[in-house]
Amino acid sequence: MLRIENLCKNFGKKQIFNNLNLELNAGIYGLLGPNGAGKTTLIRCITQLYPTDANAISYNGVPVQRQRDYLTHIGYLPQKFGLFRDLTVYDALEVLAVEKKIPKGEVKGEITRCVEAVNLSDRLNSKVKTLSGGMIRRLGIAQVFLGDPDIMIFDEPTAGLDPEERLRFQIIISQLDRKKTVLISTHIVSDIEEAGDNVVVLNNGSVALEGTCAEVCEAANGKVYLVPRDELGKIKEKYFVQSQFSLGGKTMCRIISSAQLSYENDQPTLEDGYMSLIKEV
Amino acid sequence: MNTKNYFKMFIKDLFLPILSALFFIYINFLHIKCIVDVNVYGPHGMLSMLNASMDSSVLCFVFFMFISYYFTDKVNKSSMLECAEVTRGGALGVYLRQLAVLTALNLLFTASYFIYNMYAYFGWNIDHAEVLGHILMCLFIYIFMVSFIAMLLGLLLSLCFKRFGAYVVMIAVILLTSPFTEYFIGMNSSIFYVYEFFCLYPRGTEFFADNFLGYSLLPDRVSAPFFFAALIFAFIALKLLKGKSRLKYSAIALSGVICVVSLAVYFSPGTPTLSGRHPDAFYIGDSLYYYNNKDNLKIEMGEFSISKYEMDLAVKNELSAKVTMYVDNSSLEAYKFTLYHGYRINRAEDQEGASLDFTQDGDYVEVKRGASPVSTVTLYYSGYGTSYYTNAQGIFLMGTIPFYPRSGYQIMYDVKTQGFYSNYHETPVEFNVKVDYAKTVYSNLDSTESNTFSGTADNIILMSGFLEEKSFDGINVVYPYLDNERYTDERISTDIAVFFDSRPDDRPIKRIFTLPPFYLGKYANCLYFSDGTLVCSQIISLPIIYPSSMVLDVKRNLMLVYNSYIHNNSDFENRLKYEKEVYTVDEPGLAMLLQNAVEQIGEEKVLEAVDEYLYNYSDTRESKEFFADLTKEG
Repeated sequence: MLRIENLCKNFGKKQIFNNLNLELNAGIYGLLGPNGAGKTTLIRCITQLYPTDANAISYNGVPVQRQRDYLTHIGYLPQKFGLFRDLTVYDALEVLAVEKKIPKGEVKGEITRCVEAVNLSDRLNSKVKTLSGGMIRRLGIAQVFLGDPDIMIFDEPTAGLDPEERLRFQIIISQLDRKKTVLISTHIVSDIEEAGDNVVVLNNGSVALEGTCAEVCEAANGKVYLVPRDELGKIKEKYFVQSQFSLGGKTMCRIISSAQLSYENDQPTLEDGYMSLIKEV
Repeated sequence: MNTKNYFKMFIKDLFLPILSALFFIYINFLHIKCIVDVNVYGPHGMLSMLNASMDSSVLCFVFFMFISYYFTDKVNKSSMLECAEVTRGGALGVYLRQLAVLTALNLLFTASYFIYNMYAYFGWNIDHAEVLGHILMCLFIYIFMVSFIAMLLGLLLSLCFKRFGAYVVMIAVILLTSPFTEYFIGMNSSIFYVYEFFCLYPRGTEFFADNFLGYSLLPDRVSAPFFFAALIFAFIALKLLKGKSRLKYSAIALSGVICVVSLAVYFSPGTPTLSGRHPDAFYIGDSLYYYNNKDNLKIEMGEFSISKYEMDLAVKNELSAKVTMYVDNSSLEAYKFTLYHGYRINRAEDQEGASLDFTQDGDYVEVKRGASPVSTVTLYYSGYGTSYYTNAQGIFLMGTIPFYPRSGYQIMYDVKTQGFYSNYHETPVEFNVKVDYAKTVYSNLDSTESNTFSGTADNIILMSGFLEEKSFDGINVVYPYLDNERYTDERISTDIAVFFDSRPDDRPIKRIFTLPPFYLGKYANCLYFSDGTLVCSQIISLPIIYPSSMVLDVKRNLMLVYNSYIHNNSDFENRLKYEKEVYTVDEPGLAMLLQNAVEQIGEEKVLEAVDEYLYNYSDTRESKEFFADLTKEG
């Protein structure tokens, strides 16, 4: 179990977190938040890429700074991922497998297992530079799996991917062992809609909500309305347009508002819940 | 296993292995050319292979700094580093493995240097273990360590700068340390001291290794690479190790200790002789000192004579001496000595071990008598000279400079010709000399045991370095054995035979010493000591330069009188008074002759003529003959 207690982080005068608290247990967590909310900073604190106060982050009840092998429990896919382009997929993964202190005799088996999981077995002997962008991202996911870590962290794993690769990613994630703690940082809500058991919504450096997908949806319950676009001007209260679509030759808007409106209510989605939280509707 | 993959990264880049191969070919070419030159043109000195190696030290620095930056930056740019940082090995592991690859390359290059130098060592029959040690140390300091520092610097630059900034810093570092910069700085600039600190490249007496000492491996040159390696490593640790880890503080503390120790060693006093164009090295240091102090030179006849010297000398980076002098006048209030200004006296004692007061001003020392009469004066001093060196690699001390105290105040140095006069004792003196030194020391005095000498002489010489002493037809020759152009057995025998056939006199010659190859002034070119020692720049030149030693012999006393007249008129008056008591008008002394000439034809004309006579070696007239001609012409 990963516990974050009173985490404070500043970059110069800019305060990112002020006493942030969060608890991550087994399961898949979606870390949602707009750009600049502090998602990457939080991940870098968890992975100790950014130093933290002594007791701010603990794993299984022990502050991480006191655990020499803490990083062996972590698999991490950074936002910007790449491996040395002239190496083969196998060699590139071997480099990281050894850095992860995977026993020498187990390296080959581990690499085979991980590339199978991301469907790259046939490219094991290909040079990294011959892989497509999506394949390289899958290679990144494979290196997260190396050593079968208890905590897997993915920072913006689907950014820039085409729909097919995003779907692949969702499938890979949905097949993960639920006994692991998986944290997927994204601002694309659909990435975690399928596989995510839990969602953490970060906004302005603090946790706006931590709960299940249903609980996030609940945040927008009764606030989602379907309004003809040409009637939007009549609404005096504060609202936020979530999407628009055609219905029977009319352009309809799906809006979120905390005011009681006399328009048709709609069932809130995860994205509605997320938007209502970050827009503070 | 992982380092293997970093090797793959290095090799598969193509640019890195091609550049490395080109540089490898270049250094092989340099050494093979050296072998070919020796085979085609004959011997070039046994250190010519080492010279070829040392010539590429600068290029090693440039090459390793560049490829280290390129390689580490390339891995950084692959975005692998962030993943690696979240592993137990961390980014440090990645960099250490890259460093391992570069170190292996460095070792490969150093090994190729080693192979060529071993070829020279065994193939050219150098056969002196001390030279083997010298070669290995030179390769370690000037090839391996220079390359290692360059690697660390390249790595640090990849951590701190983007490409443009890194290249600017690289160019600045190369300019700051390059020998070309040394050329532009010149000799007398104070910038040199800053430059000298940063210059990591081989330093010889004149950019190359001389056959007496090889390249400088003095403490300053050996400590500098360790200082820079530790300093750069500390910055790397600071950049790579995050947070307040014990490893980080330990690495920085260790680097700090190495830096402090290296600096202390670097600034420890010692002869800077082996520092190329160092403004204090060789004759330049003495020349500057005596030029700046030309108005403070004193000449005064000693009121006492020294019949015997007992010297305990110890040489490490500088000379430490305990010299006991047996004086014949026990009742003087003060004993005046001349001692080279580079040596600082720590203590003076009489025969009972009682401490004596003393003052030291430049070359001049005055020791006050205590309550008891004085039969011996013992001085304890330490320091170093510039032209005449004492350091861990060699010793070159000659009585020409007062490295031991002389009676009275003497002018030892001629500012005009930038050299020491050929100062001798007027009558031979007894010497017992012991030198505590790691290498064999050679002297004109007879050796009683290892590095211990005794005998009677009017001048002494102590030398050590890459020297050996061999007998050729009863004449012992001390020569640099690495100079296989001029000092082969056959060549020495031939040169001595030619010299003996041509020499114009029959003074006994028992030993010949050859001088180091740098400028020592006009008078040191060829010197003859009364115990049958000949000191010369080259044996082959003896037929030409030997007559100058004879000329110097007959002019030596006039030089003293002339200097006395110019620099200290009261001393000249004393000499004149003394001569008038001892000599007659028909058989006058030199001071009387000089005074007569001045009275007859005027001071200006006489001094000009004496000056011309003293420095004209082709003028072989004796001094009295010269004055007779002068007054006749006048």
